[in-house]
Amino acid sequence: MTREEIIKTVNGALAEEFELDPAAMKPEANFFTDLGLDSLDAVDMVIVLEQAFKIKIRTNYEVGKIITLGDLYNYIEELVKQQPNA
Amino acid sequence: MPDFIKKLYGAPFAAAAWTWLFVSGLFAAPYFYLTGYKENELRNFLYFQGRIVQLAVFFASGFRKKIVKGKMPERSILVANHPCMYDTFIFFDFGVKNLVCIAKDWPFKIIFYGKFIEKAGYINSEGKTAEEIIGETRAALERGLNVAVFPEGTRSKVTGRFRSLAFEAAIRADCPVVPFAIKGLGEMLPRGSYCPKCVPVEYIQLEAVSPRDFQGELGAHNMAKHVKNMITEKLGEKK
Repeated sequence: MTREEIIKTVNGALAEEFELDPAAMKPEANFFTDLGLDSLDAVDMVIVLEQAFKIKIRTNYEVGKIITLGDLYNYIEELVKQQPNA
Repeated sequence: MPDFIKKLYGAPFAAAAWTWLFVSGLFAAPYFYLTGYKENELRNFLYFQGRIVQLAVFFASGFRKKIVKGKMPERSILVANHPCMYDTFIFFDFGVKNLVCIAKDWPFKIIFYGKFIEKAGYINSEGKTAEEIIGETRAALERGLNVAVFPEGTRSKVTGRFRSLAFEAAIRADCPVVPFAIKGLGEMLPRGSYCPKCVPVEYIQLEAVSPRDFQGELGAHNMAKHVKNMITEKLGEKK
């Protein structure tokens, strides 16, 4: 899976789940200040990303510490490399 | 009845509720300070404060407050829609004394009340990861407490998206979720308003939902949707 595909999948999944404005979904966008999410949203984020990429995030559960969309792309990219079934 | 008359009628009761929280806090604070802020005593005091606030709601509604009670499991997660800032107090009308809530930072900053809820074990979600909040929720449940959560997070007029966090905690702690539908409080005190309108209100306890029916990867997600459906159906919002 290429980085572009990862970005497209992440943006699509999050935009649908959290009703985010696609125009605001830039790598530097902060989840808390720019996208209006908070730590209570982390569980839902894990669930939708696990479904979208068919990977396991729950065991790591570092999503709550990810600050920007760019951090999330990097994190998912690493996980996809580690879990080749994605 | 015209809108401004409805507001004129409700205003003294809102003022009385806030004065009550402040004055009772002022008198109780030295006692709790000297006795080391005992959790049980604080929760009993918060229950007492909450019942009086609910009495103000009863008067503000023009004596049109209705409570529909059901069987309450011993320790559970209580969830409700979130139309109004008085929502936290509704659970006291169901006799729930051993209660803590998950809340954002702002209630913890209210003079006296904020200190009491902090020392009573209320969970401040601000700046914490989901894992930390779930951990604190499980710890509260294991101590035999009920944990109240508003899964929408922010107050809303029409019931919004339910976050899965509370339901994930329920599944991991294997404890039931008790849904509540709050009718009328949103119209009584809409977001941004401090002057309540005289409208009827109703608090309805719905049937407890077992986490055992919602296992697997999407368990918390599906449980959140199921509970939201139960509440919106009761509120008559379901399309």
